[in-house]
Amino acid sequence: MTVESAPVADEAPDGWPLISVVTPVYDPPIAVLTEAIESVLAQTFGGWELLLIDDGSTDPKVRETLGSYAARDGRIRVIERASNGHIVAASNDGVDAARGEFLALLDHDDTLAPHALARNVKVIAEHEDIDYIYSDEDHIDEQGRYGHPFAKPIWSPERLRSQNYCCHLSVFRTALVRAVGRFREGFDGSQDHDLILRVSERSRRIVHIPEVLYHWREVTGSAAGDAEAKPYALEAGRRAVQEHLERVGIAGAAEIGGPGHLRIHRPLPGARRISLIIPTIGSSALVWGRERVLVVEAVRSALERTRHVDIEVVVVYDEPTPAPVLDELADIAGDRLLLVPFREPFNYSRKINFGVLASSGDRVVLLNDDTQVRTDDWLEDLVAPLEEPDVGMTGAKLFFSSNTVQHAGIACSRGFYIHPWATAPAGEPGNFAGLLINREVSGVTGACAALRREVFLEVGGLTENLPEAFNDVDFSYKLRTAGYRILALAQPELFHFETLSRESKLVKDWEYDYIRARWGYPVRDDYLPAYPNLPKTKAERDHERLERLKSSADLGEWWRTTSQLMGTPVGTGR
Amino acid sequence: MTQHDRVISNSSDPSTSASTNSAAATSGTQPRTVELHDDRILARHAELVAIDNVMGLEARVVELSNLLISARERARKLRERVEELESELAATRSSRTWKVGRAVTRPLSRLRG
Repeated sequence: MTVESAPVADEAPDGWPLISVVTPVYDPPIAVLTEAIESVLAQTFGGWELLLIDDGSTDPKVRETLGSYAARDGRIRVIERASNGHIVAASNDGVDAARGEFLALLDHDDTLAPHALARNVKVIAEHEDIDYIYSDEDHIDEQGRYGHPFAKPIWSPERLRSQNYCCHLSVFRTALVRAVGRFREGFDGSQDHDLILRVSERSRRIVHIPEVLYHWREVTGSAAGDAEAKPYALEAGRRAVQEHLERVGIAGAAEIGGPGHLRIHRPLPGARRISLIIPTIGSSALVWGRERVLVVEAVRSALERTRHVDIEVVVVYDEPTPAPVLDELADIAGDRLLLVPFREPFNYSRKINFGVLASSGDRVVLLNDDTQVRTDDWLEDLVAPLEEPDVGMTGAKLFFSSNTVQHAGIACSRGFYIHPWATAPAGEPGNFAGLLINREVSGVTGACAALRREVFLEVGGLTENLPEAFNDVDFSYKLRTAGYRILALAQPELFHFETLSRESKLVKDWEYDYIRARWGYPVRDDYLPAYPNLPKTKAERDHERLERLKSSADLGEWWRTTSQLMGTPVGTGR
Repeated sequence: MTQHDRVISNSSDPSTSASTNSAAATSGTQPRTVELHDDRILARHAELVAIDNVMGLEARVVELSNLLISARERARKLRERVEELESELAATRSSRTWKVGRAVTRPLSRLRG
C-alpha cells in the first residue's frame, strides 16, 4: 500500500472535530467521481479530510483525476492499493489512515448535500457521548434527477435487523470503529450493515438527523437502482444479522425475506402461559356473504392456527351475549375457557382491564372479537419478541375482509392518529418495504396486541376515561413514556372486520381533545415521518384548494370558449 | 396475579349458569367463571386506575410545562419586538427630520383647529 504524500490537512476550527470522509474508488465513470469529490469540496464546513482509496483501478484516468484533486486541495489524500482488495479492504485502509475523530462514508459515485458535514458536526457538538449518526437520503437517477427521498425513523433496532435502513449518510466515531474491528472480510456488499450493527451494540448515543444529506446514485447493477442486483450482499446481510442476534442474546434466526429485507424468526418458549383477552357482546355479522358469530370464529381461528399449548381464553362478555354463543365457545376452547361476565355500560378499556386482572397468563394478548387469524403460528410470532425486556408491546398486521391492509402500526402525525397503510393491497411492500418487515412504531391497535402481564399492570392498563376510541393510542403513549419499544410485526396476520362488531366507530371531538391534552399535539411521527396516508398540512390543503379553483377557472374558460363557438351566450349554463 | 387471587367458580353465578350448564352437557367440561365483584379484583382494579391517572397527570404536567415554555418564549420575543419598536419610535422623534417636519406642520395643524 502506498500513501501518497500530501500536505497536512487543515485543522478543524477550534473546538470542532475533524471529519474523515472515506471513499474507496474502483473504476467509476470519471464524471461521477468528479461530482462526488466536488460535493465534498463544496461542504459549508471546512474541517474535513477526504481519503480516496484507489482500489487498483484499471482506468488510468481515475488515478490522474485523484492525483489532480490531491494536488489542488491539501485536505484530500489519495491512498493507492497495489491490488484490488474489494470494498472491505479498501474501506479499512481508509479507516486506518483517518486522522479525524469521526468517519463519514461516501461511495465513489454518490454525492453529499453541501451542509451534510456541518449538520453532523452541529449534532456532535451538542452531545459529547455521541458515537453514531445517520441521516436521510435520496436517489439520483441516470438523468441526474433527485427522487425517492427516504425519511427515516428515529433509532429503530428491530428495523435494522430487517434491513439496513440507516445506510447513507453514516458518521461513526473513529475510535469505536477501530475498537469493534473495522469492516469485516466476508461481508462484502453488506459490510456497512454489519459495521452499523456492531457499532450500535456498543454506542453510548445514536442520533438521527431528519434531513436528506446524501444523494445515492442509481446505476444499473447498483444497490440503489435494484434491490436484487447483489444477491450475495443479502446473504452477507443475513449472516451479519444472525451474528448480531447471537451477540446481543436474542434467540432467533435471520432469514432472507425477499429483495433487500430479512425476516427474524424467534421461538416462543413453551413454558409461557398466554391469556387471550377477548371482549364481546356475542354479536353476529355478515362476513364474505355468510352470517357468523364473530367471537366464535375469532376463538376458533386463534386456537387452530397455533401450536402453543398453554393458552387461556378469557372472554369478557356483556350481559346480552346469547347463551348458545357461550356454549359454542366452551365447545371450542374446553377447559381453556374462562368467562368473565361484564354487567356495566360499555367500556372497552374497563372490559380489557378486568379481563387481564381475571387472567392467569404471564403474557396477555388483547384480541377483538371481530378478528380471524389467517397465518399459522401467529401466536408464537406475536408473543416471542416479548422475551426482550425492552419490548413493551407487539402488534400483528391486520387486513380488512377485502384483503387490503387495515393496520400495520399507528402513526401520530399532524394532529391525527392514523393507520398509515390502510387499504393498501395485500402483498404490497409499502415504501421502503415497511409492510414486509418488523419495525418499531408509535403504537399498535388494541384489536390484536401482545404484552407481558407485568408491563400491562405497570402502566395502569387501558385508560377507562377513553371507553371507545384512542385507548390503544393512549396505552401506546404510556408504554413509550415508560421506555418500552412497540413493534409492528410483519409475520402474524389476521383479518379485522372493523366496524362490524359495533355500529359506529367515529372518533368524537372530545376524544381528540382528551388525548392531545394528555400527550400533546402530535406533529411528526417518530417512526414514519412520511407515509402514504399522511394527513395534509394547512399549506397542502391550501394548495389543493387553489388547484381546485384553478381547475374550475379552467373549466369556466373552457365553457366560455365552447359557448362562443356554439353561439350560446356566456353565463347561460345549462 | 395468580390463580389463587381470583374468584373462580363453575358457573355459580345465576346469570351464567344456563349457558355453562348447556356447554357442560355438550363438551363435558365446565367453563370457569370469574365474578368481578370480588374485593381482591376490585382492589387490583383500583390500583390499575390510580396508576393510569397518575401517568396521565404526569403527562399533562409535561405537556403544560412545554406549552408554558413556548408561551414564555413567544412573550419574550414579543417584548423584544415592542422594545425595538419603541426605540425606533424614540429615534424617529428625536431626529432632525422629525423636528423640522413638526415645526412645519404644527402651525398648519393649529390653523385646522
